[in-house]
Amino acid sequence: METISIKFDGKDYAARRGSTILAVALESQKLPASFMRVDIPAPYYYKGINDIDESGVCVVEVDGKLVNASNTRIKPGMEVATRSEAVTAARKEALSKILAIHDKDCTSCFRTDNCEFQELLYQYGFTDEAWLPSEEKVALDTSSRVLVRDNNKCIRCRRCVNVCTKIQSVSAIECTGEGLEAVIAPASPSGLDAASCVNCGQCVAVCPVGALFEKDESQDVLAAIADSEKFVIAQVAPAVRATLGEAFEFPLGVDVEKRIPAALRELGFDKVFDAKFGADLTIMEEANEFMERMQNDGVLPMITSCCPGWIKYCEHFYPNMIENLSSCKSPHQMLGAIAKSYYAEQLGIDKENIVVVSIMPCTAKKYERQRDGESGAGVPDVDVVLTVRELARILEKAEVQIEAVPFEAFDAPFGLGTGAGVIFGASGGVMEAALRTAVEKLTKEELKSLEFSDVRGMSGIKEASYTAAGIEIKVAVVSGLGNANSLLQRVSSGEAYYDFIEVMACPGGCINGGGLPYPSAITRAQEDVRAKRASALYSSDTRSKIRKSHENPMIVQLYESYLGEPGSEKAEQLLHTFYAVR
Amino acid sequence: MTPCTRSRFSGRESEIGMQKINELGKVYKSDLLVIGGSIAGLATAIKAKQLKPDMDILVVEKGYAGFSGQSTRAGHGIALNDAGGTPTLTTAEYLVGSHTPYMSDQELLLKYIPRKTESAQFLLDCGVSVGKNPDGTLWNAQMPHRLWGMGGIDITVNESLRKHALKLDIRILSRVNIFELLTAKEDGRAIGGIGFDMAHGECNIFRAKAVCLCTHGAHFKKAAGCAGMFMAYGTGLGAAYRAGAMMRNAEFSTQSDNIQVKDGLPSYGAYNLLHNGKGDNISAKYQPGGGKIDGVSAELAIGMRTEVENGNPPIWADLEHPDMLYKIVSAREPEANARVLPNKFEWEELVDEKTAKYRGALGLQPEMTLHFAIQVEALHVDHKFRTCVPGLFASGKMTAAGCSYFGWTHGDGVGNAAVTSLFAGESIAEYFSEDPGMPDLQYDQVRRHKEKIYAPLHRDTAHSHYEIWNRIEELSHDIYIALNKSEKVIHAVLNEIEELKKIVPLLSADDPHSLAKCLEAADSLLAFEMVFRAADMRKESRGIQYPHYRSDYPAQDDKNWLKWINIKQGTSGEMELFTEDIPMWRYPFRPEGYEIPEGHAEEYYVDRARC
Repeated sequence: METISIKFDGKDYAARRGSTILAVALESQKLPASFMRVDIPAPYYYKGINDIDESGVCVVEVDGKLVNASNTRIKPGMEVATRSEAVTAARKEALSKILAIHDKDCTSCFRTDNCEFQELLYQYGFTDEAWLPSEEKVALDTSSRVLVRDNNKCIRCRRCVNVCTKIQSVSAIECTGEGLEAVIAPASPSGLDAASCVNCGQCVAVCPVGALFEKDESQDVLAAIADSEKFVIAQVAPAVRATLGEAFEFPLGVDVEKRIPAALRELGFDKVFDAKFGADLTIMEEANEFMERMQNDGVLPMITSCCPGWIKYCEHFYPNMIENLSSCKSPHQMLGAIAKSYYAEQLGIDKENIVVVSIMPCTAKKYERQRDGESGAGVPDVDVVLTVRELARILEKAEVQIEAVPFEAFDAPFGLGTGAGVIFGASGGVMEAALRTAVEKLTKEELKSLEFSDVRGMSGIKEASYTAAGIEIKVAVVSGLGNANSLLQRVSSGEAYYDFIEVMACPGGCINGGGLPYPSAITRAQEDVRAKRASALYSSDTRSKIRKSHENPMIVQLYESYLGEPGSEKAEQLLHTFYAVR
Repeated sequence: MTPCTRSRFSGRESEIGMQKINELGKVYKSDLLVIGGSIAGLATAIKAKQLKPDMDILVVEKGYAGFSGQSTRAGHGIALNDAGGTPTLTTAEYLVGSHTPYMSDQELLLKYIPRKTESAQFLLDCGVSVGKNPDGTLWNAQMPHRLWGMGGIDITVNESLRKHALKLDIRILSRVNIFELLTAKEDGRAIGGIGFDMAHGECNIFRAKAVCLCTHGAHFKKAAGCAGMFMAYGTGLGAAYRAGAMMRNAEFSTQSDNIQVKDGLPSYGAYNLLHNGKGDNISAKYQPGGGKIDGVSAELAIGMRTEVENGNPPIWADLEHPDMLYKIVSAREPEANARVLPNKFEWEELVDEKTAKYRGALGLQPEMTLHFAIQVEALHVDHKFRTCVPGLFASGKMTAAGCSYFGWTHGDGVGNAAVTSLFAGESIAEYFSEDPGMPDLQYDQVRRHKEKIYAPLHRDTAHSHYEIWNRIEELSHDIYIALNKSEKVIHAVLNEIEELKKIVPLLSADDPHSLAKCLEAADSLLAFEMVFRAADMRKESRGIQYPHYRSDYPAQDDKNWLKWINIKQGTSGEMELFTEDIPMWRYPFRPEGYEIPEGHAEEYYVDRARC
């Protein structure tokens, strides 16, 4: 790496040649001495999604001229002033222009206190504004079953447009025009729903303000809890334990699994189950389906179906590959179906009175629960899906201090999940979990090493091949729909061949889902948020006593006493679904 | 579904007693209960958890843990060891002789001093923003005397510690105020606490195997950021006292500072730069030792007053000719500022801008005045930071005088919390090396405490806690009361305290907030009384940093007063004071002419010529 010397506010720095001024400033945030760190505000910037910040705020002074720090590259001996009067004045002017188009309904906005724009306004002394809702407002786009767009709040940063287009290859949101005059709108005039949106929620996750959000279902949960007729079950997705803490200012990547059951019980849930159990069940069915396809010349490659964002994408953009999709429901739907059949029978409770609430890192799950073919027991498998953000808001309102609750276990019988189940939350986890079971079943021998490290990590496309009982299994793992798109093009054209593919819509998998707390763009630039969250799951797996789904004693018992075999008629009815061309 | 029950935290107790206690309030159970969630509470919990990862620790904070406590309002520097490796004995000798002479527990001092840098490194390892050099090592300002060093620490210290504690699976409960400790019937050991949540007033009962108090002491100073309230009220001290803990050195509770008239901030280090209106250096005139000492002596404070009374105002500091200490420690040297605390200064700049304070307009000859703060930090702990109550540990400021450290230097506000947390954390881990067991709570005790705590809510009297606080404030800011004491003054104050005590049972409250205030005011008064009872007993004058000065006994009397004054609650509830000889025969540093009393022999062997 070639470094050159430059100066920020008179202090010397060595920086990589070819870097932008902003990149050097962001890199400087890692320096041990806090006084060496350089702050440059960049409200539009988002690493890898919006690398050039056109807000007008991201300016510094070089040779007496104001330049955009996000697209000006450093030169040897460059002297950058980041705090001069001219710089501050320019930033304030730019901020006031953006503020002029922003609905200043801050006091009742759900993003207040974690709004990136608000943070900057405070930093630059915009504290005496009249924080009132705009008088003229455009209507909210509520056409989608999951997501809401509020253009009144939009600050035209284009992060949503870029993530939807460049990262996800969905292009449901478009931008026309320039600067603050630009119009950010769905690709269809009739709204987001008609724009082939797959509800992945990545646009919500990157939005710096409150312009995009999920439809809030928390009232449904509170109503069910208040209803004494209802038996309310919560199930908690793997990624939730690696991310819920962030909403309460825990450090990134802290596993709060032990705090969750007591917190949910305090809210009033009757039972708190672990969706890891559903994940183990999924592996039983999916590994079985895969082996059947392998052994009986079924349609290959088989592609995972845990991710509802991916499913809808496939239905829209790769209808010819619907046959490749596994028929397995996603884990929380499976657990919901079991709760309303087997468990309802065990408890002698009317399945109509069971309310299953899934707590998910995901916005697309809100759509999934409403799909056809997701009512295994004749009633919807899942009644409400809450994102981690919604759960955090409920806990906060109910004054449940997750920092203080005692450490308790999930409830029996579906409180026990394996290490294989917990890694579902990271890209590659489903594949690894499936391989742990499939390879053992094929070889009928115990695996020597449980780590399939080729499919781990945050890279968007991962490939590997394994040999089991003399059969070579070629696998691929992709995350991010853009990556899925390029892989599937190669598969469709015959350029690449795989037996088994795992697809997750969100880059990095569920730990980067669209329903998670918002790390700021600056945090994203400085830390590998996804890797930190994923490492919480992998260390949970390592700590687990049982790390293979088929060794989960409750899974074994469920098959013995109720389902019979994986792929049995009962399993098909409860745990499998179908897809539609859109 | 079934409605959420309040006693959910009680576990699966079958005993009837526990069921009855569950009816009194929401019960929280843990191995260790830490009361106070500022720097000492969090750091102690972290240290204990690091050494004993299986321990279930619950930290309870009356404010928002991580965002409340004195260290979120102070935060300038943190005391370090001198980078040049000055021997501990050299530093100790200076501290023993200069601050509150010979009152130190020198054995503790010798254990304590070497751990200053370690404690800063501990905070750094917990993710706290401690001043660093570009190469990542601790920034250590060399003090001119080379006896100790000074590092920088940011006001985000508690926020960082809170995060680290959560990462280690420590439980943290905010907005709950604990007013009484619970003890075991068998041996009186501390096994919990009782209080209420500040939002709704719900009774919260805590059950644990051991308790650590980290609540600051009583601090009758209204500082910026305290919203016009005292910095600490003494509820932890009061609870410990009633549970049987001993207090020590309460008479050494007055802190005097030179402050700049214009901005009300102390000018640390300008003690030897004070001049009167005629331009005479009055530090040299009044300060013992010709103005070279590091602190405001009682003599200097009284001298400042005398100069003004004699028609020589104003008192001003000559910052144009600063000594090294000022340059390094003061908040006004840009490079030091930048190294030390970016967040603090960012915040102050914003506040100053908004409030049009006098930042930058202070000048180099600011007018100075005196400021007194009575801070009662008298909870006695031994070298392992154990109180006299079994199972009750303590760390941080509330033990500052009670442990007889008396080596207080600049940077020891945060530094003391950090160092004592290391001691307490280690000691707690040791206590848990064998399971201490969890005795049953005593139903009658819990009920009695609850009744007492909630009593002001049921009173229809017109007395307000402010009657007590306003009077304490007036008294503690009067130089003739806080600093320049005499028997006449002390007795007058004690009489007044007796009158104020009559108000305590008449205080009334109508919400959790005012209820807390009533209970706090009662303990403030208790702490205030300790100061004057002990001051009455000590018939001599001694000390600079926390001076005890009696105009009727103006000299230091090493012949009769190498003693600590201890305070305990007597069996019938009265305040019992008794002295204890300071075991100078075990210590390296003794006043000239000191003779080992009969019945004791020399117990410290060192070639003193080499120190």
